[in-house]
Amino acid sequence: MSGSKGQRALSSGLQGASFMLRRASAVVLALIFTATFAILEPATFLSMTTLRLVLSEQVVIGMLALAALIPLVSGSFDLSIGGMLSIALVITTWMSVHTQLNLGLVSVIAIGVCLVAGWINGFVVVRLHVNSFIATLAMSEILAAISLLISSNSQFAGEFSNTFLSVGQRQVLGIQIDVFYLFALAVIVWYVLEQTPLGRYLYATGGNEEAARLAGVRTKRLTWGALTVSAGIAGLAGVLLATNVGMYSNTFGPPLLFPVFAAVFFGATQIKARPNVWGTLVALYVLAFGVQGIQLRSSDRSYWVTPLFNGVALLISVAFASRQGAFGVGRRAKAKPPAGDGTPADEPTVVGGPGASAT
Amino acid sequence: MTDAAILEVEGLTKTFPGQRALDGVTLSVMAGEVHGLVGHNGSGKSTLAKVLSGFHEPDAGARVLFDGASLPLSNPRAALEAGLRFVHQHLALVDDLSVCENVALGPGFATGRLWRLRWREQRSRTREELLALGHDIDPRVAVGSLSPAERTIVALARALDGSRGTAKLLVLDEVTATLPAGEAERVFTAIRSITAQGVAVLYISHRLDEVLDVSGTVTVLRLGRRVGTFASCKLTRDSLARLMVGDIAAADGTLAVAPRPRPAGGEHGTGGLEVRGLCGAVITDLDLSVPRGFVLGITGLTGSGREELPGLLFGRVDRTGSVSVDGTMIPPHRPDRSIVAGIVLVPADRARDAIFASLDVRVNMTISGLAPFWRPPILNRRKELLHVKQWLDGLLMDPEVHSRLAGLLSGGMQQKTLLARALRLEPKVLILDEPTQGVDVQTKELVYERVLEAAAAGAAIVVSSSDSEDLCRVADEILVLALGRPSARISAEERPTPGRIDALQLVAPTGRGT
Repeated sequence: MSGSKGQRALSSGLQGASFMLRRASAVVLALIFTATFAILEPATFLSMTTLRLVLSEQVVIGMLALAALIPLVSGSFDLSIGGMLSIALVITTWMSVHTQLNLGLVSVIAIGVCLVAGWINGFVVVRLHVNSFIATLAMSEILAAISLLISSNSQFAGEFSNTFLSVGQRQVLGIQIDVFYLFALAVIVWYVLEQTPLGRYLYATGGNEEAARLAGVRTKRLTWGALTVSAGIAGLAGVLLATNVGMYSNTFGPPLLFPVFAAVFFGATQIKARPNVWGTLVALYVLAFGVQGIQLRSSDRSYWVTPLFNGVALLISVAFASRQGAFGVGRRAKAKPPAGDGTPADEPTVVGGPGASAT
Repeated sequence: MTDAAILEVEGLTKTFPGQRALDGVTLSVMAGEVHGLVGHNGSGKSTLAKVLSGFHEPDAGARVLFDGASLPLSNPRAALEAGLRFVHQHLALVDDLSVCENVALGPGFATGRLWRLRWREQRSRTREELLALGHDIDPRVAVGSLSPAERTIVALARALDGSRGTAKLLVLDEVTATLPAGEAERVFTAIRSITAQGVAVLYISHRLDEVLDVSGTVTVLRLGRRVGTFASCKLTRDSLARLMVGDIAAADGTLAVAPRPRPAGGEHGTGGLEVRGLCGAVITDLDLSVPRGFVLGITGLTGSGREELPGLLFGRVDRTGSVSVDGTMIPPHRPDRSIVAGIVLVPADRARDAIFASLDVRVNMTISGLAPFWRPPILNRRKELLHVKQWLDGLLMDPEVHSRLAGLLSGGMQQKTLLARALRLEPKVLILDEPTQGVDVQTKELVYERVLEAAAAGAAIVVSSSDSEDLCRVADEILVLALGRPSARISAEERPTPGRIDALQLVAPTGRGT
């Protein structure tokens, strides 16, 4: 009797462990980092300074991740968000130097330009039937060209008022204010995705577009809208970046794509078995704290450690989740119907003998 | 051509769990002849083809002689090397690749040193093979740009390609099923030139006048047994159909399926679905009217327009003509507006067109109608959950499956979820496409029951099905399609049987020789 109780406890323990690895591996990872770096770097890693630094450093990447998340939920990639951020930043900075316009208006113009570019993304994907991966990749290059043209391929400082800079840099409760902006945006995106019919329709479109269309979902309009909104959010992130750094450099923008998509994909394995807001932010910050610990620990010459860490962490976490079926159901189910419908397509097709595998 | 038999099958039996698909079948195909093989759904023709290809292992005691030697069974490679070749209805061509590449996909490319592809040699060989079938098709064009008949010819050329040894018997399984009538003629020309080269053809088809036209002898299977082998000049389409389904008069007595008792209140109302001059890819100038409370069954062979009609009515695909519900016109290409107007489709291919495999049952069920739970700014998920559980309970499912991913459910459970998705909208017009395909027996009964309940509640219902039993059980009237037009109508008062419906499909015109 005690043996079976023990077994039950063991099996529920194993189930718990399996859940942790499957849906909360980021938390496990965070605990490991905290323990490791707390031992290795007790003075610096566990300080408020580190916490504050990492929180605010990730705000722009976090916003881009939310921007990427919305089209991804509906089954489209937006690779142009880096370019959008860059163009919003260059427009804001350039106009602060060359025009006398109010900086609030300048910000609206910058975000407006991104919305137009996002609308064009939607047009190309929906009306011209170009794969979103390709359409937004091309848009990314076009935006890069415009950024280069405006900036004459050089870094330059903006002429920003202190009021403008304080929009992003003010301290609230000891934390830089833009961290709150990120979380406010996350709450809005979460609300739309999880608490409204619109969110359901987006997930349905991403799950099976034709099924969504036949169920009455206006899939084209949603895809179009998602690409426009993601561009707008990326533009907002660009303006916020201007308030933080006060200058333009072409190192901002497209190079952020890896950490952004790493957070979204890692995040899709967390909490729920699909891309989601809180999973994305958890993944983002766990990776960021890991990188921070490594940077504290390592010498100047180990600049290569950060991308290595990001890459390995992404692979391991997603591989774990895939093995447990988190990615498997949505993506592979299309190729192989789960239930044999008895349609001829399920039957192996023999052409000139099965030696010929022509499918 | 010789009189020697190229293929001799004796005592072939194949038992699947719970079902005997073939029962002591004998078949003899002469070298260089076209031998027709006919039988209705479930008669065992496809199983026979799969035993020959080595895909199925037959029960012990079967003997297959091929080209004078005993053919090792359930050995695909041996079948191939002996000279057996197969072409299936779906052809298995890759649209994006060229004709030449497609032909090489089976037997392999001609290669030189360092595995370099000998393109020129490959192309000229492909061209010769196509010319031998009477077609001058450029080997460099993509298969996707060819006409349906040309695609079939390419599949034939691949099967006949000599680089894996000489083909001696070509088994063609329903290769013309989806071809328009004129196109099929070109395939027959190719088949005749194949036999002229001394290759025998086993021709499996539902289109009886094509079988009679192209083959010299015909073997008829019924319920896994051989009815007989006949010279096709002594058969007519009607006599052949009678052989396939058994004596129709007798079948009326023995195979009768009682229609389900109708729930009370099933008076046929007015309004409902009105269709005028509907045209699609196959369907031509179709008029229909299905009043509220009426169940219309649609059937027909593959290619008759049966598969196309549900999508046309719902506005899934391009159409001309008018479709209206209770007098309101429904625009094409706008499923969302169709649903708002009260017309709902339950598609045939669940995995492709209906199920969100990565989302849970709750989301799958309520996706088409979230309005009752949406009180801005809150989607009342508790109310939604209660509603979903009630529906699951009503459909004899465990209410707790609401949180399971729909992709992990059985076919029957998926179909119930989709039925709930449609019925909870209380549609004015409900279109069901192959509603019992791939579902268990209990679910089948449940589907019939719910369909009739919906009719009694005032829905106009269209059931399209290749399973004649479905239609005999629920339909007030059955419409048989052929070549995109109605070829017969049977009302429920005539007490139709599945055998009779099958026969009506088979004797329908196919646009040839009538």
